[in-house]
Amino acid sequence: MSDLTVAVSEDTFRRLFAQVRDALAESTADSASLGPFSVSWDVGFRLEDGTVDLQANNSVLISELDVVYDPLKLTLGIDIPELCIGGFCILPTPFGCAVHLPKICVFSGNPDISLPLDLSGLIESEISGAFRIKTRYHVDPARTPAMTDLDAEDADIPNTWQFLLDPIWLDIDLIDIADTVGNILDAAIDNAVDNLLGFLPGWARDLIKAILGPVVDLVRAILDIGDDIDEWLSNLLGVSIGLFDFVATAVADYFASRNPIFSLEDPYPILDYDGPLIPVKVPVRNLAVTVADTEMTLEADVAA
Amino acid sequence: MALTDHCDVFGSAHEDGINRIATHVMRQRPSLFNYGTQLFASNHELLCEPIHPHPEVVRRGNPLITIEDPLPILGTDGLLGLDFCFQLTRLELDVHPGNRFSLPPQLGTLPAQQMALRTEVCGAVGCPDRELSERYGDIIAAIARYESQGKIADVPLPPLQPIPTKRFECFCLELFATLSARIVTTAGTPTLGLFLEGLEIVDVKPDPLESTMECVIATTLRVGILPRLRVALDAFTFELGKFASLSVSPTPTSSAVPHNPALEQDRIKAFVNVAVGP
Repeated sequence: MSDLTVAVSEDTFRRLFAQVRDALAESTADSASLGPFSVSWDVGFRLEDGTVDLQANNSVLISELDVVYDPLKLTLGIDIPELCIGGFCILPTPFGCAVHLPKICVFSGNPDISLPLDLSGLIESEISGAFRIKTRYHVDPARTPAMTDLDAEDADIPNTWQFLLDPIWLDIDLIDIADTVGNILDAAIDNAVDNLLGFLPGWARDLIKAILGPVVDLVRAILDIGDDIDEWLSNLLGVSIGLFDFVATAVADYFASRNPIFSLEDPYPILDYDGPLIPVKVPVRNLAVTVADTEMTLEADVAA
Repeated sequence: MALTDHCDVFGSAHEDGINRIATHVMRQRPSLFNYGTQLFASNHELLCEPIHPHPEVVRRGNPLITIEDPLPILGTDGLLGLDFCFQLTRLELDVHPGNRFSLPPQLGTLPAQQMALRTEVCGAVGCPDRELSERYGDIIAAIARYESQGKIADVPLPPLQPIPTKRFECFCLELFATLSARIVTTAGTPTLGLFLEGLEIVDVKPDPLESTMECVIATTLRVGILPRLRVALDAFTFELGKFASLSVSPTPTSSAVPHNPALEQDRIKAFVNVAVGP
């Protein structure tokens, strides 16, 4: 067994995953004009559902994490130059104009034509995938052979242990048909019940919606069967199925191998500079992350 | 059986790793473990035990010893002192079961859920020869005479000076201590503390002197040092960016986790619960 061991339970990972998922939401709103054309947008996303599972094959599985695009509002505008006719004098007198022709202007608005598109909460993407956490020892290319570890630290190019995500397979549904259809059905049922049965009390309408809810869920489940099988097979075989997912995995692999999620300086400083006194640094060896069914374990040795 | 069957996070450190870390600290910060007067700082060969610093310590010109004033000689009104050095030359930890070193018979076998500490301290005091001592004695006598006559009442005294000497007698003592670690309540807050269970200085005679030294050291540790090392356990909150905060607390002891922290199988183990919040 190694000198240092830290293990984190799967339950802790699940709670952490849920917290980060619920807290992660971004949105932006802005507008732009291109001559007579204008566009404004209010777009954002949040995460819903999904599970994280530590697997016995040293990997972490994330299943059916939904990306909900909400808000998703787009407004296209066209501003046609204003056109006015009339308004000139048709009966001039020495004391001024006696009669003006009425002035009529068209296309006075800005924009004159507006096409709003509001798909907030309707469209969803879904991400599933499995990955390993790899460790890699990194020596900065800028470090010269003559540099000591302390020289490298002073130059801000210390050696590091890097933690990298290694995607095994990815399944990305840019538009999650099942959930998107389900959301549209939910919205349609809400509108229909509220409009057609508006004479009923609120509790009665809520009851009807509640009765129809499982039907929509059934539709979601049926539409998702194909994707579930796809994900199950991907996890079983450890490869992405489908050209898009295969390419997505390769792209994710490329970027993940260049962008560590965490770095640990080596040797690791346990006491900082104290005036002229050098920091105390401890060399770390054999750093490894292993994943089992119930926990993730980080192990390391302290070198002499 | 998983390490986290009864907690959220488990951490452990093997005594081998802890001892290697101690060695790194001793080599990279030798001035924390070696003390002496300017004489020893300028003449390392006079030290009782050679220091083996990390090459970077030498390259960066870091001091090997912390310079201290000479030991004042009583009756000289702070005018004269003796050169001395004091070194902590060994620091080694053995977590139950005791298998790295043998404890002295007075401490017996290392009990369960305890760890043993072996240290070696060496020291030396410069001992001037008789002729030189008597010359300095003449100077002190003259000063006393002038003081009694009020001739040097307003003259500032020079700083403490060591009496020159080249004779040093080194001594080394081996000290063993057994320690336990427990979570206790301090001022209403749970704290992790180290507690001295036993202490033994080897081969000091006569026995009452040994007992007196042990009493002084043990009392200093129990009253002055270890209480200040207690770590409050209610303030460990880590932010994970803007997404989550983690509050950690020790896992309560139970039949499943009878000791926390646990000192067993040559390791210091800690069982921790984690609360995840926004």
